[in-house]
Amino acid sequence: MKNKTNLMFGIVFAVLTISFISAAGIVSPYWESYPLEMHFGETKVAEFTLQNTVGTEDITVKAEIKEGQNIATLEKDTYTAKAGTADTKIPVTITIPKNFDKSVQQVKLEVRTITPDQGGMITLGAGWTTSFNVILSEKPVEKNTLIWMIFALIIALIILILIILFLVYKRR
Amino acid sequence: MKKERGVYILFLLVAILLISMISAGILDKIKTITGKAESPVPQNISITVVGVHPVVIEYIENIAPQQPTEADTPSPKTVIFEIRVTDPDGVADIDDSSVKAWFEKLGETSKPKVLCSPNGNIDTDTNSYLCSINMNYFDANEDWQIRAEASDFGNKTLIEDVLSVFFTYQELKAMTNSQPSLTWPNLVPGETNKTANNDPAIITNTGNYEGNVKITAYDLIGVDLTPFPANRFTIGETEGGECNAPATAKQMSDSATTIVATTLGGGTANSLYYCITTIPLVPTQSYSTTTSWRVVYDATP
Repeated sequence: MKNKTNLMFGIVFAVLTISFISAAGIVSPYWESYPLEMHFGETKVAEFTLQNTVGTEDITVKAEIKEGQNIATLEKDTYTAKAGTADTKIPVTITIPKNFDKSVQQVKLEVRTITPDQGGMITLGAGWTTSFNVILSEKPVEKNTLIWMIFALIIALIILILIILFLVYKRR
Repeated sequence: MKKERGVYILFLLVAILLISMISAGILDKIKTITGKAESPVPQNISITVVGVHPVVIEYIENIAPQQPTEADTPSPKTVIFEIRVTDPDGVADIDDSSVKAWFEKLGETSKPKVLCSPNGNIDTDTNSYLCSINMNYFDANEDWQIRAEASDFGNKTLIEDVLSVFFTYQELKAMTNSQPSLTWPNLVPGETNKTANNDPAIITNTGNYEGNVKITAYDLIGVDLTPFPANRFTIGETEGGECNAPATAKQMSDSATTIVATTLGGGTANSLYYCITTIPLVPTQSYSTTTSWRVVYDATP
């Protein structure tokens, strides 16, 4: 009972953390109103950039695909940005299968700092979620392919006419 | 008779010729006779030939997507690009001091016009210029139009481009949190409305995204692994109101709770105050987070 009346609640390391400011940001190449356009069977890499220009400490973040795991993958799940840098890349590889059955797929990436254990208090880690749509369409037929297709159709038409003429001639 | 008429005509012609010579300054010449020896007087003659055609802004460089710099640290993003100005009357007719560029976006304040620097000739009637414009971290993301104008000495008409060239300013989700750890004074079970002793935690938007700051709380764990429930904590934006959920504060839980919506602008900040509404009956010991609470900048409400 005595234990429950004299609660000591951690204040031990407060002074150590006063001067530390948590700061970072992430730059997205695509976002809610700026979608990525892709074709079926295509692969693209969307490079997100971790910035740590304001903070005075290196930061390590954990990245995770929260939506769109069926098309999006990460090379690894932790990235470190040194203090004063703005160029730590987090590449997300997006591969659309040829038989993919959607025309729009949302991809959501969550990045959060991995806060070192400071003990005896509540620690607050920063994080960002960023999401964008991948809009899918059939690959447009290339000009060369189109020319060959027309050429093949003409040849087929000529052969068909010749066969018909041959049959008509044979009947007579 | 005919011969006489011819002589009269000839005489008349000679007389007209003489009159024109006299009127061309023979009297003036007489006036200059001073008796002194005549010496040559040097004369500088300068003429400026200007063209009649207006200039044309024939090219604006396509700029790759640009990344904002978090809180403009160490400096705003400088976007450098080339424009080319043509004048059919030749490059000498282009007024370098009139070649300016700026960025504009619907619904946003345009970037001020900047003077572009000469960057050499492309050919006899086209000059190249380099322009440099700063973008701030809080400038809106998406497409900005690159605009340019120029004039010349002859035609003098100020011509704006009609090229419709855009560049993408990317989205930067960034924030600073002034207080990444929270502490409380010693607490006694049953006490109510105990506020943190090192708040507020000031969240500053250091990017160009307006979104929601969400906090996910987790139970604190004691040395003997006794949990201290996360739902005893509340957060408010005003000092004194942080314990009064749901009126002026939000109760925490292990699912993401929207605390504030951020806005753009240099140094826009929100202050967060923390409270424990009721101290539960738990053993005397220190309690701390084994998993950091997450302060997440999210798009969804």
